[in-house]
Amino acid sequence: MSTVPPTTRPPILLIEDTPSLMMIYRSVLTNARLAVITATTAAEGLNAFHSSGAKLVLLDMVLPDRNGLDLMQDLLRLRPDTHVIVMTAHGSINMAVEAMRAGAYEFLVKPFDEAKLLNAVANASGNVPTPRGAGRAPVAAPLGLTDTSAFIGSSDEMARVHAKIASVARSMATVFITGESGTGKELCALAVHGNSARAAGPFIALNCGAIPQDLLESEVFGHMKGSFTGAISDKQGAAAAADGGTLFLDEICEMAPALQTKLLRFLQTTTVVPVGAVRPRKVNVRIICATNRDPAEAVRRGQFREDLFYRLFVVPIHMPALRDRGDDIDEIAQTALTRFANEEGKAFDGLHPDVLALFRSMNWPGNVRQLLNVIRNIVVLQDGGTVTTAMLPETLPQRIGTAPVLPIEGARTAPARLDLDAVLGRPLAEVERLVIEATLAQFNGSVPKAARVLDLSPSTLYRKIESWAKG
Amino acid sequence: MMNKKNDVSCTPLLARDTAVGADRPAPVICAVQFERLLAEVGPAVAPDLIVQLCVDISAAQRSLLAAVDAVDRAAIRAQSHILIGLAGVIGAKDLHRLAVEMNDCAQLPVPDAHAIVSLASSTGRAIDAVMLYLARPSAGLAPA
Repeated sequence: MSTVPPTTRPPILLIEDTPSLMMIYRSVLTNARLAVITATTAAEGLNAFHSSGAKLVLLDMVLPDRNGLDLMQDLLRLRPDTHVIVMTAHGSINMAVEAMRAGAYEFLVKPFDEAKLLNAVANASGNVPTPRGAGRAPVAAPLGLTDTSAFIGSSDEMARVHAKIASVARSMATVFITGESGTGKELCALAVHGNSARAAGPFIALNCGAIPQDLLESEVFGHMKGSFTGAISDKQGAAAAADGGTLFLDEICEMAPALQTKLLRFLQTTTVVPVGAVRPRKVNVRIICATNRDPAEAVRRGQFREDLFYRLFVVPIHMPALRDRGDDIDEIAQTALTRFANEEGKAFDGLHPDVLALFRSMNWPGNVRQLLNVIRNIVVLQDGGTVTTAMLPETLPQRIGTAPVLPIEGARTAPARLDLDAVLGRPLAEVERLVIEATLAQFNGSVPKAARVLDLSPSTLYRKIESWAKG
Repeated sequence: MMNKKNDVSCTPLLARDTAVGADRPAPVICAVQFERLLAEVGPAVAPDLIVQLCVDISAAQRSLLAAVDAVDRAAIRAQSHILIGLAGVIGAKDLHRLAVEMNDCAQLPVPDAHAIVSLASSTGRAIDAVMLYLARPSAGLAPA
């Protein structure tokens, strides 16, 4: 183990077993006027960690005496506020992803350039918690104490989501949130941000599906005055606005291919170039993205870049559909009733068991958002008392187990049961359509139910139906 | 230090002192990348770094051959992992590619022993070429 004279900040601990790589990394760091201590084995590294008070560790994942991941977990157990940057070569990317999930701050794939190393160190150093009152970013909550109180519900499915948020929040890992519309993907992103070391920084949300593609580049990366017609002044993009915080890109699969390329470049270089600008600007942003589609399916269909997908899909969090959350439905409905009643100045005594039973039996294609809208409707239109089935909105299907029937343009009337002779000799695409339409008919037009039976994602089914409507 | 994937200015250098077989591409070191690496570590460290690179690559070569002989997949993974890092950092693209292939092979649940032996042979030749390049008195150092 060797040391460089310490400064007022704790030194960076560099654990790397290949001497020449150690020389290179140490030289780059010391040339950048950073204090470094080094170790070539896991045992030596653990001792140095104890004695140095290091809060930032550069850790090679393949060490002669121990797996780097095991060592990292020990380091985080000893000092949970430590930032560990793992370094790995080809063949151990999976391990690096695992490390991020276990709490690593960042990972670097060898060989990496000087700028990337210094950038990762700068990001990690800038977020290393300092004593309270020192005017720095707030300390991240220790694992297990994460605030996810915005979520209502205590089902096993949500407990898994809470645990995932707790483990990923403190790292810099990119989070990819999937789930149907209305399941709370943005709340999840906010919880990740709010429990991270950059909680004091901005949280900028951008819906890639809601902004015209022509404007999206300008919205993400900004533009310079005069760079295109209508650019009457310089505009800071979302990426720059999120500097020091989190950029949430919702409906990421809707992003046009050209902009996907630019986003990939941004992720690789952490620099933004506003439209019409000449010089790039370095930003320190954590990316969280979300989609209600199946991203792997979007990749297979060529709608989403595979390299971008792998870059973003580091820590996936799947938000469960409301129908899969069991008793959470009661909890959410009761909580929403109390909250909305307070807002409207009315008094309700709760929900009748029949209403709760009906709610539990429904499919809720709009998920929590749909349930909240139903409760809001009741509170606004009713005077109070116990909520009975008679008070439910007329549009709510009240037959137990029946999902709302969605209008399916382009879907032909199909027989409820298909005869094999009727489809033999037909083109495969036509057979597929007949099977899908028959399945939809069997479930009264419920796309989610038909999709489940057909083992397809609902989004795939919606796309097929749309294409038939157009075609 | 290091790999610039999109750096079109990388100049391939043939290890001219090496007996290169006609049936395989010559080992290549990117001179620009290597000189940049030496500049990054600084003139005080650069000579020691070249010596250390020779020592490390040579040690990895010995350990890799022993691991291949013993069909020790974990050791093959570890040594090829070291070679990936070293080859990548000095811009030895051929060696880097071979080390990646070797590591890939050793990751398989049932590795192809024939492929590993064949790759080890090619890797050995690539290492020899890189070592000869590094061992030259003026290896990679820009003219004063």
